[in-house]
Amino acid sequence: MGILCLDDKKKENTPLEALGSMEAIDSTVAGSDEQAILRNMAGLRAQLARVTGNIELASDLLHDAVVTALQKLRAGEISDPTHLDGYVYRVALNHFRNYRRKDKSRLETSEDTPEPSDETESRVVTDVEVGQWSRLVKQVLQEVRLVRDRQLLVRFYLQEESKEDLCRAFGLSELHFNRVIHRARDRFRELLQQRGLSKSDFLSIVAILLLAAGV
Amino acid sequence: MCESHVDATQIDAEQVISRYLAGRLPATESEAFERYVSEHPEIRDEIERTLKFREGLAQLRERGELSALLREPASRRWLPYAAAASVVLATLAGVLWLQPRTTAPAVLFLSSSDLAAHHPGVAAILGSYVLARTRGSAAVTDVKLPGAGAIELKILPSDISPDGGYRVALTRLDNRGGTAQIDTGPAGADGYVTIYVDGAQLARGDYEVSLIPLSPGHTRGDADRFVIRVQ
Repeated sequence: MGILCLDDKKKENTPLEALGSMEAIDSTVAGSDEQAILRNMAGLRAQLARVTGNIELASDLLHDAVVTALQKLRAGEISDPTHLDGYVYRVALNHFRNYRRKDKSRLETSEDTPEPSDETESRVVTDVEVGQWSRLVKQVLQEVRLVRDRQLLVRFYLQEESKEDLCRAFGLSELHFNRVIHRARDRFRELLQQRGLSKSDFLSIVAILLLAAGV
Repeated sequence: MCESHVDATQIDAEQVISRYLAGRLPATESEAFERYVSEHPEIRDEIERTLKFREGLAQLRERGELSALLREPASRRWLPYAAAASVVLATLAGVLWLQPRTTAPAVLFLSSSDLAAHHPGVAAILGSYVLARTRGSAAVTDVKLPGAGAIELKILPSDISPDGGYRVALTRLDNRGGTAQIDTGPAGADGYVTIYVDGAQLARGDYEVSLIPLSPGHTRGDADRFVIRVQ
């Protein structure tokens, strides 16, 4: 898996000299359990795949976040190594936001998320863990008694309508809205925990990254 | 968004997360949020759950399963239609029930004072006509168009209603108008059932005046029928 540097300016500013080569870091991280890192950011990776339309690019962006974090660590810009995982997530989120901003107009004008158009993208939908999420989400929706509340969840989470707009559209109080969202969220958390899909093991990420950085 | 502000909103992290993910946070607040997230693993867990939930929904939509989950169960799907139908029926029944009471007073009145109360200035009785089945009587009673006044109709029942009341209906015969009707009390001391017609509601033409006792056992076939020709 190659390193994807999206911003040439950023690449120029990378303190490669202090780190050795990017390839060296890349191979070090790749030699570690990168799958574990990706697994702990699976939700973000799935959404990166959506906004970029490419699961490989999403993985590359996460990998780039890892490398960037290691560079920062070696450059002394991250004072507390235990925050390394957080820094990785921060960089990855930043990638997501940047792509999201580019993609926003497309998402806003398209009612449906585009269907996977090639073999690479189709891997998103065949991901085993993603399949488990959808089953759990389906269970959560089925347990919500009122169809109106199911529609509320879909419009809030999937269509990203604001709380204010939804309360107005459904004639709901803020209290009722919060109750619906929190119950669904708590139930989803419970189901994830029951199937061992919940807690992200960020400590293991830190260990992997520190090992890769030689710290 | 400063750090303290993010801390304050932690109790409602879902709201901040959803706004961030939807791109509704300003750039400076987004950067502050990302910084905050980097130092708070519990928020990262929350974000991951939110993203997994969203991805799960997206998967359901792509597999065509979502729309079915957002519909009423089949067993209950008829309920709104049944409710709507019952409302329509109830409304129709109400209209039919109220029609005699709401349309009749506009044309027919039990007394000249009732008519005056509804139409001030129309109290003048411009004509009085007797409708009775008597040997040799004309089949059609000519009535002079009263204009802004009223006419009095004195109808002689052929059948005395033991319970007292009658229903009087006025129907235009050329199908260019509806029917007005009114329920009256018993016949007067003179044996006639007297009603008053707002002349302003009449037009030139033939009308049928029918009278039927309100007591049980009487049908429309038992009605006394008369024709008046307004001219």
